[in-house]
Amino acid sequence: MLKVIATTAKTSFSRSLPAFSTCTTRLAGEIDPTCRKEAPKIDSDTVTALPEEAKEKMVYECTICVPTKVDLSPITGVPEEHVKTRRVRIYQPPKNAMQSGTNNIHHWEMEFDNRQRWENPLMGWTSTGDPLSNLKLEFTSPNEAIEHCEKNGWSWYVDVPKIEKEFRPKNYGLNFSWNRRTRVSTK
Amino acid sequence: MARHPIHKAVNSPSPDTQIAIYYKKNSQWINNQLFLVFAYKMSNIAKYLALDKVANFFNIIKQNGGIRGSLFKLYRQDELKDGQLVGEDNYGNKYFENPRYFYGRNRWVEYSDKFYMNYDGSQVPAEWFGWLHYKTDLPPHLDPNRPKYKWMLDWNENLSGTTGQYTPYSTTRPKIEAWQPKPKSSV
Amino acid sequence: MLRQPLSKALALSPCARLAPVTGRRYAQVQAQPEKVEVFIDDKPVYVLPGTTVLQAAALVGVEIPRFCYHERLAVAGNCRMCLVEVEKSPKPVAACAMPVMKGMRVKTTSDLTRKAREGVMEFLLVNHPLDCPICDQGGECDLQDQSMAFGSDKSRFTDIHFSGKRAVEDKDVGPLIKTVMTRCIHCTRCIRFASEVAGIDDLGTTGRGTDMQVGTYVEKMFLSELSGNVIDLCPVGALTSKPYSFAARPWETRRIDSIDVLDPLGSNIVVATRTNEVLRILPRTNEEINEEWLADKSRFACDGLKRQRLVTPMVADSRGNLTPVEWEDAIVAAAQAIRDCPPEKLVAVAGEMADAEALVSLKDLVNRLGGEHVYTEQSFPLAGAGTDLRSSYLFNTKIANVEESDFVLLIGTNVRFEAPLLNARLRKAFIHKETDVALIGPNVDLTYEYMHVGDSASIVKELASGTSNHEVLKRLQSAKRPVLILGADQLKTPEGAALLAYTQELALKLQGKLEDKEWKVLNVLQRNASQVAALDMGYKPGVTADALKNAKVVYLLGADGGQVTRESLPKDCVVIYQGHHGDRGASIADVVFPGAAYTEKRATFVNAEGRPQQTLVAVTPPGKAREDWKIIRALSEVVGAGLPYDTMDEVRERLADVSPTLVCYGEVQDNNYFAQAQALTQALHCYFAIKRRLISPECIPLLYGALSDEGHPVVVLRAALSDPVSM
Repeated sequence: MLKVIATTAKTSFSRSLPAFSTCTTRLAGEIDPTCRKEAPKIDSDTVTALPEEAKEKMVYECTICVPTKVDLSPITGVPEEHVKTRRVRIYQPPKNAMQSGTNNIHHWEMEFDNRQRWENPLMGWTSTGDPLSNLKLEFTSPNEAIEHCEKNGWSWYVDVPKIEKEFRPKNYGLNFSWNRRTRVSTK
Repeated sequence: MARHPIHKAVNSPSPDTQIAIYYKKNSQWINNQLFLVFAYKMSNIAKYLALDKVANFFNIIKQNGGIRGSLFKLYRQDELKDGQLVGEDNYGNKYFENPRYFYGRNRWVEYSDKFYMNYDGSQVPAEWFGWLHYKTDLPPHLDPNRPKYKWMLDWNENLSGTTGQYTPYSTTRPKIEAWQPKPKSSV
Repeated sequence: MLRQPLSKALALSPCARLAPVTGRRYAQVQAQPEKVEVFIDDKPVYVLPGTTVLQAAALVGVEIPRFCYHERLAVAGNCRMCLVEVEKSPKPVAACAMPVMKGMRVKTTSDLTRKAREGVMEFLLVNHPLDCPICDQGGECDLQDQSMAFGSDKSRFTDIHFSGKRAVEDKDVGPLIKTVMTRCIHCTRCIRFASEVAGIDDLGTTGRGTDMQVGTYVEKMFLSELSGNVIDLCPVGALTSKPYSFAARPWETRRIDSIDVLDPLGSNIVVATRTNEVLRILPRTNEEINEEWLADKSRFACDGLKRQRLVTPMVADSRGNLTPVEWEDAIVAAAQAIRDCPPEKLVAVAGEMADAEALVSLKDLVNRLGGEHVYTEQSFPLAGAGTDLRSSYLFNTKIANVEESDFVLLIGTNVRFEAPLLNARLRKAFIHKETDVALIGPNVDLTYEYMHVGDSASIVKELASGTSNHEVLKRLQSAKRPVLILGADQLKTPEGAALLAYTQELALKLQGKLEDKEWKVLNVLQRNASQVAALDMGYKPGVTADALKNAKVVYLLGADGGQVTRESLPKDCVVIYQGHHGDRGASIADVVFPGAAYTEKRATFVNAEGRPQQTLVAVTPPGKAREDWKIIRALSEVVGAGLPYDTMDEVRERLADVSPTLVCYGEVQDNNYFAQAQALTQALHCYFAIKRRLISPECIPLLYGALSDEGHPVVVLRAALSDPVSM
């Protein structure tokens, strides 16, 4: 941004660039002006560069923003079979019913559809021809997972667990209440 | 198994002082050598006239059991060679050598007639394999160091592709018990 | 202190400016007067008074370790693992039982808390064997995990030289639960589960102190249809699964989230597999269906998936014996029979575990050939609205809403047997919400008290007409949220239509008076997982003898219910069976197609509420077995009536065409055509006298679903041992 302004402005204000950099257009950016003590420094190469050079440099240094959807599948090298025919399930891992703890389930995961497995006749071990069978990725939100899937060209669906339940204050005294059915037989 | 003399290459002449003794001891052999020298000189002429080839040809035909025998061997082995019979193994395969042929082709095996057209490399037993592939110049029946124990198994040819072949099988218990339909008719 | 660096002073200032803003935000929350503020690790949280410290901590994401506390069970407060420090309290308090007080400052990570928990852990481990390597709970054990955090690295236990560790004799509580009582830490979760949720007061403690034992006092089986859940509840390895014992470690298994199809509720399950083998089935939390529980049949039936399976296509040879053939031969044989058959003589019958994809393909195939005879095994009266209106065959109230009801009338259903988790809900409502239950039907044990109205169906007629002078009518009329649950098995008989008509009339009368217009009164509890989907698609309920008498080809899609027998069919009739187990259906078949069981396919099942859910592939179908809809698709091609879908997505599109509700996974669509159904019924004069007593074969006193194999159709999954067909 800065360099673009610098080069475009060079023809008219050839030596007064530092002053130019403090103009209001730059302050409109996201950076809080009060936390900056002085005008940004511009290196002399930029200042003295010819317009053509400056333009070239700008082209090299700028980042490209692609507003449209990115599809990485043509360049990831993933075989087409594993892009077009796969279906990703995005879900929140369920709590293990055998345990009380819930520490490792507060994220979202994606997994692929389960492909065929067979018993290998040599050793009796289980084989699969599916390279993605062990791929499980973790995300903090379903949106990230969806974005990742779309980037890679996989079709996806989100499986939202129904785990919200009504909050009911627990009460130790209910075990002993004399007029309610919550009274327990075994104390 | 009959023993056959091994063909040896012509030695370089011995020192003069030993010639007499040598001649005495080996007169028969030296006569042979002299005959060979003569024959060699004659053969130069014959060679010039390509008559040695003709002689070889008849020699080969003769060694392979006449015209009928030669045609049969040609049909069976696709080539006719003459050579010294070096030995024969327990299975009836005969091993030949002729240094006239190029190294690599100068030791060969003629498979036993009982194999007829079904011969293959695995029918050569391990002990002859070494001689045939120039790992050793000693044929097994002349090798005093070759171990011979009672418990050593006979050589077995490779049975792949035949009914006697080995097929791998799973040693694990089947995971699924299939339903066996009840036979309908009592017959 | 005063000589702070300038940067720190500056850094503080924005906070000071922001503070009032946050204060204001909380002030808005505080406008609700009933909430009190407590601080968990200095994080403020507003909770209802009476909430326990542990619950308050859970609201801000602080998980307090616990053994005895379980959020679906009563508070016991006996393990002491949840001790926390509370400011100005002289002793650490048990977070699970301590109600919050205004301004309470709880420190869950302080030194005192930590020391208290370490002490508790040390005492627990004094009498806990160190046999984790041979314990089935190893790897998913709460005690193991928490000892990593609060356990000592060395032992102060010297008693080993004198009296040794405590040892307790193992109890025998039946073939499903293995007990190693030495491992028990006396959390009493199993006892509370048995008495509160399962309603079987069999478990308890005897003795005191070090002699305390958990058990049944006299040796007896833990006879509950929910008994398997104590395996999950046990925080240590004292109660483990007997069929799963020494089978696998939790980290070796792949877990696939799926749906159970052995009862009409469609409980959510996790299928644990290893080496292409289903090892065990665990419940998966779904508050709208099964909460956190699972019925024993669903949990322990998975061993049946390995026995008596159809693994190869079969065709009957000239002597009528089924012989294994290749797919091609079997399909050609079936296709030939179907092609030679006039369409009106082609009958398709769907069984109780058929998935929606297979159902729609089969119906499409029959319809494309010009046939109309597609039936389910379970019958439903067709008089009046029949199955045209979805609300007349669904569980409209929804399972979770049963808890909100204040009066439930069960008509001819033994809920405890037919849908154990619905019964658990009813019991929960009975205990916690003071819901009352009445039953018309045989006097069975539902694990809670109920009002037994009688066992004659005519009572329903009297209730509907208002002529009854039984107390139940008054209760129903005064109820704010009444619920009627009609067992689908009662509708099989000729009088079923009348019973349904009177129930509908009664429900409509009750509904008309309700303040809550959204509340649904009428419920029909189906008996199997396929019926709702089949009816949604237009299958005719209940295969009729007439249709079978004229049939030339009968296509059984997993129909093992015994409705179709050789005796009911003409001699030359060709029976094609497609399914995953060899049972009644396969044994009368001429052509057998091996299909996939519910753990082996991605398929849609619609539960009794009308909630579609899908199973996922956990293991590969055995042998040459294939997914069911694919078999029908392949067959259609050979028959010459190729179905227009090739992929699962296309089949689902077709499902959506048939009924959009079939693909709204996890959601229930509201149905509200009660009045129309009743009007249709009335117009067609379905009312006639009903006198029959409501007796269903399942209402035998032996309620133990998973074990009482006899006569129950799903039992084929529970091994071939008692099955007369295979032996």
